[in-house]
Amino acid sequence: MTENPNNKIKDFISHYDGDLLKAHAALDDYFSRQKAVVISSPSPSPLTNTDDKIISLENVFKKYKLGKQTIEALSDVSLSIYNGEFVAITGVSGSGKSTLLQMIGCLDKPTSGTVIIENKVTTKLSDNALSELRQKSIGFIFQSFYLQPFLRLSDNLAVPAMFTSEKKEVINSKVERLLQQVGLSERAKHFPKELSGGQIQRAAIARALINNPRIILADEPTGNLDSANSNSIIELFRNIRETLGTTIVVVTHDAEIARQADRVIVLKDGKIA
Amino acid sequence: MIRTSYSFKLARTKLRSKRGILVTSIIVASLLFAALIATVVVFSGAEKSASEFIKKAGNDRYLVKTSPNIPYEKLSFLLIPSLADIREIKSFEKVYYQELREKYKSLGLQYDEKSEVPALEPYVYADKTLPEEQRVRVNLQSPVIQEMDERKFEEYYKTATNKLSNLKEAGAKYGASGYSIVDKNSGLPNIPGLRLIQNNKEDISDLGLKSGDSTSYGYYTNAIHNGMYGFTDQKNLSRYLLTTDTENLEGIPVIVSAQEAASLFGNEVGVGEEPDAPAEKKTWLKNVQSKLNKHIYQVCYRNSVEQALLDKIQRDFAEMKNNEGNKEYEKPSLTYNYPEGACDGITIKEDTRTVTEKQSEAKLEETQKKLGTYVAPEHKLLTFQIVGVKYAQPYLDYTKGINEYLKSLLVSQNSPMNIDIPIQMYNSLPDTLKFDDVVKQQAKSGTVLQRAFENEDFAMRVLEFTNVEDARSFLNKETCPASETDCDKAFIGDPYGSNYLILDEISKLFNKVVTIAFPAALGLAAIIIWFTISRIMAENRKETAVYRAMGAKRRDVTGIYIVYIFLVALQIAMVSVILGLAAAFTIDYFYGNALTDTAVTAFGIIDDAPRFSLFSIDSPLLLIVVASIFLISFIASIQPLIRNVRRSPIHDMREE
Repeated sequence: MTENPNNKIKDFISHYDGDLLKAHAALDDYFSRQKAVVISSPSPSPLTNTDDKIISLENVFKKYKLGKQTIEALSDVSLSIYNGEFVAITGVSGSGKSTLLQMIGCLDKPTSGTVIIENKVTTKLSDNALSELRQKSIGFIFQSFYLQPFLRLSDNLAVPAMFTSEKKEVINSKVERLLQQVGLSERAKHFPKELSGGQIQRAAIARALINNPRIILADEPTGNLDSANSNSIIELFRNIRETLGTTIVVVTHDAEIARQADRVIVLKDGKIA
Repeated sequence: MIRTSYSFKLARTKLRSKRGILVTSIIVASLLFAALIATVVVFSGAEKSASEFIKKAGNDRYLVKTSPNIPYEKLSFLLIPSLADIREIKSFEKVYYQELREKYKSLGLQYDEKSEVPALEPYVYADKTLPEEQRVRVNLQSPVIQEMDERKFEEYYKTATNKLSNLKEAGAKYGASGYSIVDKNSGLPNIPGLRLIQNNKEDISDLGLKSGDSTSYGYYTNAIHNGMYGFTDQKNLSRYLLTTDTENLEGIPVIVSAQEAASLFGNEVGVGEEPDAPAEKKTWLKNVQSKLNKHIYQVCYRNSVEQALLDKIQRDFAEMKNNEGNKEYEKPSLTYNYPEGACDGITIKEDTRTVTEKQSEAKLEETQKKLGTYVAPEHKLLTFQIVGVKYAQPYLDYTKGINEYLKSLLVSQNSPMNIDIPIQMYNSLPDTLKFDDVVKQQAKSGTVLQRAFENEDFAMRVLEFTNVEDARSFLNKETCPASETDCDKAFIGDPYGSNYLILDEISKLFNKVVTIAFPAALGLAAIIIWFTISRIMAENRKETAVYRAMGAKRRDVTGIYIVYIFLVALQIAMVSVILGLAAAFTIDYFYGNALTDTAVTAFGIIDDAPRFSLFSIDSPLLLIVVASIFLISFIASIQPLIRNVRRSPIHDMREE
């Protein structure tokens, strides 16, 4: 039976008396030693607790009509992602990876098949319930970041929390903590145009975390960044996963991300290769 | 559900996207609504100011001037008579002269009817296809026609339903009171029967009426010259009266037009002609009032016989001059001198009549005395004293510009042609100053209609109403305006003193403007707002999709956009109100004072005159316009909003 990484994290944090930096370093070392060989597989890595399934797709098909032509973006995709996993989805352009991410993110519904997120069959949920699921359980990170140009950084981070109707003070304290975590505290009052690409992406990641989601979905998070910033983002993902136990699903072309992931799912022509 | 404060925060950021198109749209929509707001403010101001002036002019009473609607054909014959009329006239003529012959015979005289003008005379322009009997016209000077007219009037009077009692019955339904006399014929003749004496001179060569122009205004500003006087109840003249003191009256009290008084007597007292600039009119009018109050002028009354003698003097003079050197020419046997001084008598210059001639003329005089038709030459010096001046209102004269036009709207159009003699003040005069003896001689002067209006039952009267609605209802239901040619009602009626119905006119015009401009502005604004909101929503689709990805529900997105639309509408409303009020203020600034001067002269309210303001924000319509800005903004946004929230976020994100 493989060790549950969540329990491992808890162990490390408690071992270092809540000193997150030390716990983080130790965990980093531990996981790098434990890293499995990257494989393209819908199955979990041997490290994963397969009892704690958080995302499940069963025989998912997604077809689009494009004029008279029907395009099959996803074809009989079945996979499971477990709590705390760091999964990379790769594939060539048009292989269906973004569609898959949107299915998982409850932004799109399959033509047939079932998508289960946190034990909820998304195809059976109303639009409101889907919104609520996204709001509470999923954090999105977009390739183009989508920070609001006319909102200050602190307000940008607060946007997803605004839809939860949380009190301003609660949101502010969360924003403050997250800005600190991503090292942007001093940029809180700045507008996005005053930030660098790396800072913007870190802000976008912090924004995705504002509602404490169990799942982070990232679409080409390093696509617009140089290698230094890309490494920093990967580091951040690992950090999040390790400290918070968040499940991270990343659509990427970036081999380094794929290398760092617990598991890589390769899509080809809408199918898992 | 997103909190409102968060919706405001997110909506506010959208105001900064597509700023150019948004600002342009706000400005264009605001200009439309600003024009509407300015219209409302200006019209409300005009209505309010007109109402204030009207109230002051009528002392809170709404006056209606009425006269009975008497069809002319009921009292006299048409100039071109029908066949039936011709036969009736001929038959009456026969009887009339038969009776006259018998009357002469009974007095031992012989009557020669050929000396009388015929009742019907050949009409050369008559239709040649008509039988000869019909190719005639009525001779209104004929004693036969005059007698027939008298009888027609008596007949009409018996069955008339437009007498004072009928008027009171009709007025009672609307709570009317007063029924005071207005513009009643004084009985004094016009020029040349009555001639103004100026600088102690009587210009005997001046024979005709002066009109200045073809309107009643022209006659009114020449009424002293023309000798046009009418009686009016004193209470209808109170705002023009400068004095009501009857103890020290030195002549017949009159209210004259300021223009004519200044023109005739201005030089004596130092008052110039009426200035053109509206702003100077008030000062000028005040000057006329103070300088010409109690001013005395005199006119000379000469009866028809004296006028005939004056004609004869002139004719004889011309005849003798033309025949100078003609040995065969025989001078008239009786010649006269022109009066030596103003209103002096006519004296005999030379009397070379033979005894036979003298006897013949004595006999004629004796005969006339027997028949009661003898009239001796007479004249009388009449003294008038100005007790008030009235600003004569020009009739609708668009050529004189906007002020004159507005003035003509503000005042009633039934401007009199007569100088007003306040009845009560006249009655208090000693007999020596009155002209009742003159009137007796003039009993049969004027047209048959004028004579009819001298009857108390048919006199023009002013009715008083306590509110504009009653006055309007009475006018609409019981009377026709004087301008209406085919009146089927018993009375003719028009607003008196001031044209309070201008309020109705303003409202009508306002409603007309608003019913066209309001929907047009709303429609255009709706298109602009729809276009802008659609563009901005399209522009923000990805952002909306991102919100949805972050967990925003459709109603959250709707909430943000509703707040956004509210903010846009608020900006339009604010800019519209500011621009609209500024425009109205500017209009008021440039036209308000000129209109005040116009209204002051129009209503004759010189002291304590309010300002004629074109700026009033009291109208509830103003709130409606502002509310409609919000309403139309929301209505115009419904379609793009529904379309926007129905969109799949993934579709919009895929467009990336």
